[in-house]
Amino acid sequence: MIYMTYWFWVFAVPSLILFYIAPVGRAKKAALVLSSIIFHTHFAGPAGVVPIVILGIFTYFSALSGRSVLIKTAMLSNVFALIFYKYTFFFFEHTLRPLFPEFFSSGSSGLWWQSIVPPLAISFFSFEFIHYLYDVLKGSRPLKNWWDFSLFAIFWPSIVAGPVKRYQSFVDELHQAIGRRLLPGDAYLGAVRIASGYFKKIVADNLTMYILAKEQLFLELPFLTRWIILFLIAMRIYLDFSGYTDMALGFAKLMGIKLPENFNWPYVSKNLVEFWRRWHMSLSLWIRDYVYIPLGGSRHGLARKIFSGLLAFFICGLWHGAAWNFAIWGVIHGLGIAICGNYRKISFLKPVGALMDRAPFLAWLVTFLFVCFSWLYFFYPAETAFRMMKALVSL
Amino acid sequence: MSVLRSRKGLAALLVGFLFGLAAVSLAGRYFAKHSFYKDFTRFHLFLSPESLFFPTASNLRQIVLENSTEEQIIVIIGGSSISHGVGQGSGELWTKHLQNLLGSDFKVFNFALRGGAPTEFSLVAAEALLKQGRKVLYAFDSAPYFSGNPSRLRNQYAYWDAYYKNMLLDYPVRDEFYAQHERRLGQSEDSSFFEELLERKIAFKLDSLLYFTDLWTGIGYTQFFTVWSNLFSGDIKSSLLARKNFADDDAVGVSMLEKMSDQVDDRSSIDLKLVVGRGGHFCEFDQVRSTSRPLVESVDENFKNLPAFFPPLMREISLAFIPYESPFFFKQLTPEQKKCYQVTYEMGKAGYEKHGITSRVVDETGFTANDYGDRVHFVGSGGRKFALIYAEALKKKAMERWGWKE
Repeated sequence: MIYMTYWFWVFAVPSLILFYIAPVGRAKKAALVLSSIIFHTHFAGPAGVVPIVILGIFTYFSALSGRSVLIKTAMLSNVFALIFYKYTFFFFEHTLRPLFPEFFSSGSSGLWWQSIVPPLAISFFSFEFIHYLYDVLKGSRPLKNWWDFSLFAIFWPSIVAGPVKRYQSFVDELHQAIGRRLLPGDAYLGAVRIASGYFKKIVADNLTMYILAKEQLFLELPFLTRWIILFLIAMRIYLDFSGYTDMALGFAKLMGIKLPENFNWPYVSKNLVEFWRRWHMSLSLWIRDYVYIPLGGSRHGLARKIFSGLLAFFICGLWHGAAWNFAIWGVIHGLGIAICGNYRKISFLKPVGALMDRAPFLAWLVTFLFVCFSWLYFFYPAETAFRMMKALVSL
Repeated sequence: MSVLRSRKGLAALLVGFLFGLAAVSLAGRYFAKHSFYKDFTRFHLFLSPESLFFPTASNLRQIVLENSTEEQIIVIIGGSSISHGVGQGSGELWTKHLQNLLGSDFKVFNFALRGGAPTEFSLVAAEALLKQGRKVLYAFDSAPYFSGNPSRLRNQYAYWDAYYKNMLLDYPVRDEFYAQHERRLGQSEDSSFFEELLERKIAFKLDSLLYFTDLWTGIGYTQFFTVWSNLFSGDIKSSLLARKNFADDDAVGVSMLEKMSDQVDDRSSIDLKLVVGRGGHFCEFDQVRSTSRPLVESVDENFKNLPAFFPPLMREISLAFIPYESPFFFKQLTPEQKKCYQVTYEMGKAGYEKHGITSRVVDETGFTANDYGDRVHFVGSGGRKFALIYAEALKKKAMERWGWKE
């Protein structure tokens, strides 16, 4: 929503002008730091900024020290911060309370975890900091310049909805951008991308209103309408999220900085592995590099590979939101990937694999329907999603 | 493509963008200076914020300016769904009767909205016309208490629209009130109202330069609409149609008694509680001991913000009407409850009059249960009686103010 506010435009236009008129070099960087601080402070508020600043300082100095213990401690601190801010309420209210109702019977309000407010974009901050620390631990050079690190952390176009950046490529892009005047091509591409993002977002917002009005009556709707709603739900999330990404990439491009792509026509995918190469790419690559591969990846046999994949997708699901339906959504995709990534190796699934290879349209249809059905678990509580799925397959 | 990626291309793109911006801004200004509403009677459902259509302050002003003469006394009807005429089809709308009763020296404009308040949308229109030097009377229905919190007003956007376009009277008291209100919101734990206010102010400040709200309202009325609303149910095509295509289709009112036939439905018992509750705003009512005590101090407290909404000049031309609810319910009250109810309404009147606004309680005299479509809204017959009361007061006000003679 932030890009759709008037405040944002009042902020963005002067920020871009300031960036353009600032002399090449440090002044440009200073202009960018200033605008990013204003942006972050305005939307996160002081209570949201402080935890990020503390985490950022700890991350920066730990990496700079080069000491493995400190870097690992900083990584754990980021993981802890993410869990604390985003999942404590979920853990107590949606996990422990249903399991031990008698333990919580003394009171249902005023408990300390109920007042935890996650800082804006904590999921993005912690993932980017963990990536940075992990790469430094594995031998990449840490950022010595504090301002480079600050901009990697709070570069305003990517704060709210990503993409999840990699510091090496971001800092390269940053240095190029502040070392030259804006390239006409970048301005053109940025403007087109922003326009595309706004168009998608307006369509998505209309779809949202339509879906919100219809979803309450979903079970009573005619059969065909239920299916139309399902496809609209799929289109809505794509247009909404990729619209945001387009805007983020567009604004960055207006400053000459190329951010990683997040979407590449995901709904044309012919299998789930391909889908995740096209959907929220910066996150799926992060999960691959910092969860799946460290867990063993495909190096320790099929069972371990499937387990690592499921765990990675479970985390991926919970990353999107602190609720069980997100976890289920992640596990569904993990299972799907486990099947479609391995059916050529499992004897009784080989005919399915062969059929999918011979009939690309069928492969696309199965993949698309799988993704659409799974969105129900993304948007609705598990029981509701299940009832909606049942309604979709019963006349 | 490659041309656009050259320096000349970039310059052309920038110039084109600025020209485009200037062009749409000029188009917006055009819509702000010309009324595009055909055969306007009221801002019905499809011309109201309820359906995500936001008539601008300029629209309100232009509707009046283009449909009245300099000599006519303009009567702006404001307030809630009661004045809007919910329960009356457009053909039997009470303001049409009011126009007939007042004659051609007056021109009546019904700017009341469903869920509206006398302190927002319609007030803005009246004040903007007053600033233009027109002879204006502002008549509105009101509950017996005052809606004095700007954050609770549903159509407050019109105020900021008019404020930044310099359509309102200079009034430092109001400026200070809003500044204080903003400070209070800024210090509140719940920042949502503050953010909403900040957004609205930025939006209309920008709009005063670019006129995008007038442009989109104009396009939305005359050409096509771009925002889906759940009023259209599943009909996506209708939601994209220009709003000029939608008629004021409020059905001809049927009285509540006819709707209920001879059995009292569940709704009526809920409504009865609401009617009793009205008394609760101004008098302490003890249902167990069946006693009531007027809370005299609360009038001052409740109406304390009125001067911030109504500049002195506006108070001089305003008339507040505080209508009772349907006699069907009033008759069911105990004598103690009736007393409390009457006291409440008289205190509402006193609240307005304390600040110099002519006020009248429209009690049950002359009205029957058949005049109401529900607890508060009139059907055609009730509307005609309501119009008579308004006409009498408006004529009197016109005589006092401008020496108007029948």
